Amino acid sequence: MRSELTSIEARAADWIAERDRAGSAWPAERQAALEAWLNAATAHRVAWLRLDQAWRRADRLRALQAAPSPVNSKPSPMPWWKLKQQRRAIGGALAGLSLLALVLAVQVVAPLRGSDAQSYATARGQREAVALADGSRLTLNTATRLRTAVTAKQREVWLEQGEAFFDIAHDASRPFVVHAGRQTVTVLGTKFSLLREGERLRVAVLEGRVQVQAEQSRPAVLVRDDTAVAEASNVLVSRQTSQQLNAALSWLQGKLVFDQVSLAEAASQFNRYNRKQLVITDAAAASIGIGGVFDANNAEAFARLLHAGFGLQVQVSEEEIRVSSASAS
Amino acid sequence: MTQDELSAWFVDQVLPLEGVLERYLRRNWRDGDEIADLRQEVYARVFDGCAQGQPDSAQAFVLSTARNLLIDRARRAQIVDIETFADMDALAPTLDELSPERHLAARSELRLLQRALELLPARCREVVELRKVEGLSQREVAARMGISEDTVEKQVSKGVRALALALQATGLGGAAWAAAQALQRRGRTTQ
Repeated sequence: MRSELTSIEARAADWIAERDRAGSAWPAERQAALEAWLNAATAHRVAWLRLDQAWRRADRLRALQAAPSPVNSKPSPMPWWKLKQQRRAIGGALAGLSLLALVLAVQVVAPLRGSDAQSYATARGQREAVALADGSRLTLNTATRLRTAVTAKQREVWLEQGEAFFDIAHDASRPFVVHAGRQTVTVLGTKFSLLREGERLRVAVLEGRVQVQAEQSRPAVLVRDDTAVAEASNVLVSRQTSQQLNAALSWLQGKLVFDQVSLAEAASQFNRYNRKQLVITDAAAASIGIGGVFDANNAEAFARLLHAGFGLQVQVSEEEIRVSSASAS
Repeated sequence: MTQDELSAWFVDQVLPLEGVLERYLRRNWRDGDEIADLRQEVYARVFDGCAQGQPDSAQAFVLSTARNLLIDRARRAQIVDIETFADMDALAPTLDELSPERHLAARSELRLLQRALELLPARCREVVELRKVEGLSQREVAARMGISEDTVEKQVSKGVRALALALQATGLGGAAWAAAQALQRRGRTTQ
């Protein structure tokens, strides 16, 4: 008797899941098959109605979705379910809201204490790998400054400028917190990159789960292949294909990967890495679409390709590489 | 009443009584393993019984259907347990069960759902969260979690059942808590 109910419920749930998957593309013949099953026995119908209703009720959970809050509002506490996720992630080491409190407190105190604090910096065009005491590995991209403080109780990094890739060793008892201006990124064990552009922070997650908190907004939880742009009042999360994400992290191999970006954008990327700046002199040249993989440190080779491929004029001096349309010069 | 109207009435009027029905069944039936079966049988009888027209009070109808079912079962079992069935009148629904169930306010409904969500197995919960909280499609959930769409569909199927069970359990808990509160109040006034 019990097993009969169980199998009816399993079948009813399968129907609901199948229709849920199909969405608006639910074919008429499947609907006909469902109705035939429902009409076969009242037991089928009531089981289905009950489960379908439970599934519909769950739509109300949408209210829990973290939405960017208005600029003037106080930072709101984490929705409980994100809290739970986070708590799960930290293995219960930090309970409930104290996590948020800790994050905020640390921001205020701005500590740099004792011999455990280290500063690292890279010059333009330089890339540097840093191993932390906890086994985490950081890779600093061009023109980057950061400080680290790893103690028995916590692991913290202050990203003052530039870009870094974080390969964080898993440690449930010590969350890893990165401060970047008004933004805070909290993780447990994961791989992600951060690019700080003034008060704007770009986050790309390669593995695991990352919580990003802008000063005035609710925290957003990012998972693999998510990227986010965090500014003072909001965090915008979007998904990338693995390909796009790898392109964004190509600097780890000293490469720049462009997928149909404007020459102006490509030049500004090169200029992050090279003292000798690429200058695009006219709008026609600046709007040319660029695609391909290039050595970040070799702007001159890139300029030669522009000349060979697009017929652009290239003038190399001590300070800069000037690129212009053939007709404009 | 058309099949659709009947279904709509069932969803609106009968399903919200699940907590009341469960408590009634648990109070009057010793074998807890059979409660789900009994509930399902009550639903089927109510649904068929109301095909011609709906009763004035869904709650009274559901409970009297449950009562009749328990009597049928006890008779069929032929071994009537003296302890549980000393008096068939004991099966009469209590005043508490007959008073109309308050409709849950939107906020407590959300809390109930949150607690239900908490009871789901981790992977299943992640699927349900992405699907229902983030509003992703099953395809997007699959991409986000790096699993196949078939796996997501299976987890949704599992999630549907687990959610119904969890809602029932948490709903029961809330009502049980309210009943305990009421009892305490009564205790104080008689002191």
